[in-house]
Amino acid sequence: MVGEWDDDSLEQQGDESIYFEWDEADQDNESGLEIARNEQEVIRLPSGSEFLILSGEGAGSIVPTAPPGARENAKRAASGLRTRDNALSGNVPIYLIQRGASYYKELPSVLARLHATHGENLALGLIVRIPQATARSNTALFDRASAAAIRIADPCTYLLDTDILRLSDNPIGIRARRYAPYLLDGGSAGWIESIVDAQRAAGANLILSPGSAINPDRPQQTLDEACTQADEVASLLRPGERMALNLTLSSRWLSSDSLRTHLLNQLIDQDQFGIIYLRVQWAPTASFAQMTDLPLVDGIKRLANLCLDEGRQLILPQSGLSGWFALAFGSTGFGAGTAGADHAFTEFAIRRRAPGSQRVARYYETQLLHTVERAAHDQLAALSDYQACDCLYCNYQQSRMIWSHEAASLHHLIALGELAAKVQSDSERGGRHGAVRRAVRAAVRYSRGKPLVDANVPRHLQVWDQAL
Amino acid sequence: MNTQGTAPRFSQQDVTAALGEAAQYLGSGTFGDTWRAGNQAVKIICVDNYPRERLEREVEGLTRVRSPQVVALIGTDEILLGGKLRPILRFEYIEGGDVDKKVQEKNLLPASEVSHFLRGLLLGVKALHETSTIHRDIKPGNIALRSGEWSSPVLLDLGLAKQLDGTSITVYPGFIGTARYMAPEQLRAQRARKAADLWSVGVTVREVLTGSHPFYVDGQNYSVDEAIRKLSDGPSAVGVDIPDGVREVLDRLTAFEEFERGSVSSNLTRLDRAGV
Repeated sequence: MVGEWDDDSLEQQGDESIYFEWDEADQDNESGLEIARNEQEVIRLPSGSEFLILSGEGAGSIVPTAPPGARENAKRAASGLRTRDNALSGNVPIYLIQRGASYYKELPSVLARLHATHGENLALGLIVRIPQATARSNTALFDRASAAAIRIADPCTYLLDTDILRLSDNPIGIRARRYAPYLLDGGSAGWIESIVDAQRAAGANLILSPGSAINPDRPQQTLDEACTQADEVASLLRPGERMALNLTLSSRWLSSDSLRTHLLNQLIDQDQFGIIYLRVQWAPTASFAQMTDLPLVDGIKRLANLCLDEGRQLILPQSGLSGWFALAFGSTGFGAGTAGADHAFTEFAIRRRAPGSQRVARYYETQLLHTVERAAHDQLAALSDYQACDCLYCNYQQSRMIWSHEAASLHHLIALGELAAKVQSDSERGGRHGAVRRAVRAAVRYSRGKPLVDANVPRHLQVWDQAL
Repeated sequence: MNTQGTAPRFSQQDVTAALGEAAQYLGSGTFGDTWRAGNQAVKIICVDNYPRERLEREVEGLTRVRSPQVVALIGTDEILLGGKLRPILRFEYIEGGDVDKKVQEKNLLPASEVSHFLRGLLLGVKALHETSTIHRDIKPGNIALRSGEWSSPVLLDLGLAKQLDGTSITVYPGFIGTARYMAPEQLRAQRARKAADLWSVGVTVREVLTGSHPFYVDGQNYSVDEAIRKLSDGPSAVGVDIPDGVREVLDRLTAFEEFERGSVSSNLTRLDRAGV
């Protein structure tokens, strides 16, 4: 019998050589989508004299003239590219795509497509992890991702906090040490400056504070330390640079009344930080399962409510669909990527892969607000009320006999971006809360009577509906 | 500043001689006495051996505060008084008296002035917080009224009481004495942060509006635990007709948890949105 493995096991299985040790050369040789290599498609920007390349060679870039032979997308006019500060204004939801271990070359194209179709209702950004690639590689990716108004190079210093978070036994591999040497000497003199410099070298335009994990056993002390470090980052900013308070927490911080009160009191006091970049680690569940722990959902809700009330931007970078859900309560942005681990910062759990096993084929169902296995997808697709996705990547998937994990991952990213944009475009009645509530209730209605079992059942919907 | 019935630590004659101009006693605090000299209010630090360097460091931020709602700190100096060199702090002198005096004269805050008074206090707190200064001792005695107008409150003392010594606001063993305006977290001996100033503003405004403390019964002693319980029960209703927007902000300011009070900016925004 041939086993199957989860696509997030790449970063979850505890093999140091895989956790942060992927070889960029191998990735460069990754075959990629044929569609990405073929036809060039461009869209004219409102300036009239520039074009954004949506696919094909140079996808994601802006060029002064349409390349010869490129097809111009005439279906719609693209909105103007947002500046970083406009994107961070909170006027529209922020959607951050995270560079993962796979398929990252296609991300500029995904961002460009989302901008072309939803730029009016969406602010876009790209996150790279400093320990995961060279500064040169990250800069090159940022350079191609013209639609990414926000560019974040996450220092990932939480990797040092193995006593607070549940990480693999040795989460910092050899290359990570080379790409992020500050991980070797946490807390030493000049440490914070080196972290800021590493972000600049990678091409970030929103600087993060170190983001070490906050210890629930020493709540006030470690919250103070995080804010002191952030104050130091603020003192290092150069003209034009902006920063976010970067916090990494275990879910206890939000689900426990006492810890949450500590956190909220600290945030209300430290009001010099207008942007909060928050990574929450929660208990492992099935791949692509969402946040369903009610106390945690309630904690996110209260935090987001506070940020909304205070006019501060709350960004949940590694949260996937659960991050989208938090838009209902006042968070400003969320992030996802091509791997399951980019959709949720869950506690490390060993998931053994049998020799010769195949990767589980999964598909994000927009109507269901849930990712299901391929067999379940096929069942749903055969039903009369199914609305097939017509994104580029789904069209490509349908043209193939063999399942493309890449196309499925990129479809997922596109679909989440569209969902975020819809929160804005559908916000006239009841604001973003109303828009999310309508989307969740539509998914609840759609899910009724569907032939879904096990992990394919969207268990989060009931919890979310209740929280809304 | 607690001025009523407290004798100065030094005679008027000695202070006049030390300052080099006629001094008029204004009142006394935990660490020193305040005298009027010309158009300045001069606070003389009477605690012996208080480090001058620390004083300078502490007032450095305060001199950056520029707000009509915060008394201007003009500078620091030293005078020879009682055989010792003593630090002094020179502030602008606000004509018009303080709120404590008004209330004692039964001149309560008119409902028609509450939004202006509240906004003025919040603007003063905002100016302080923007320079990372927390007052920590806002109360009627530390609020002057410029020209005697309720619409022009001015915060006095600039938090020096707390900055000079962490024990300056005393919770007496088992009982609260002068802690009428202390936030719950202060009563629990936790550090006072920005939210503590907002609490004090809320309690002060409610008290000068109604003539009654919103949590405590005058003349009654409370243990710290009892006091905290009273605070957690919530304030008494404001039995005065005031705009809903003001009432909402006052309720926020006197919320038990710090984060529920919001920031000074968000409370000002609420007043703006309510059009009051």
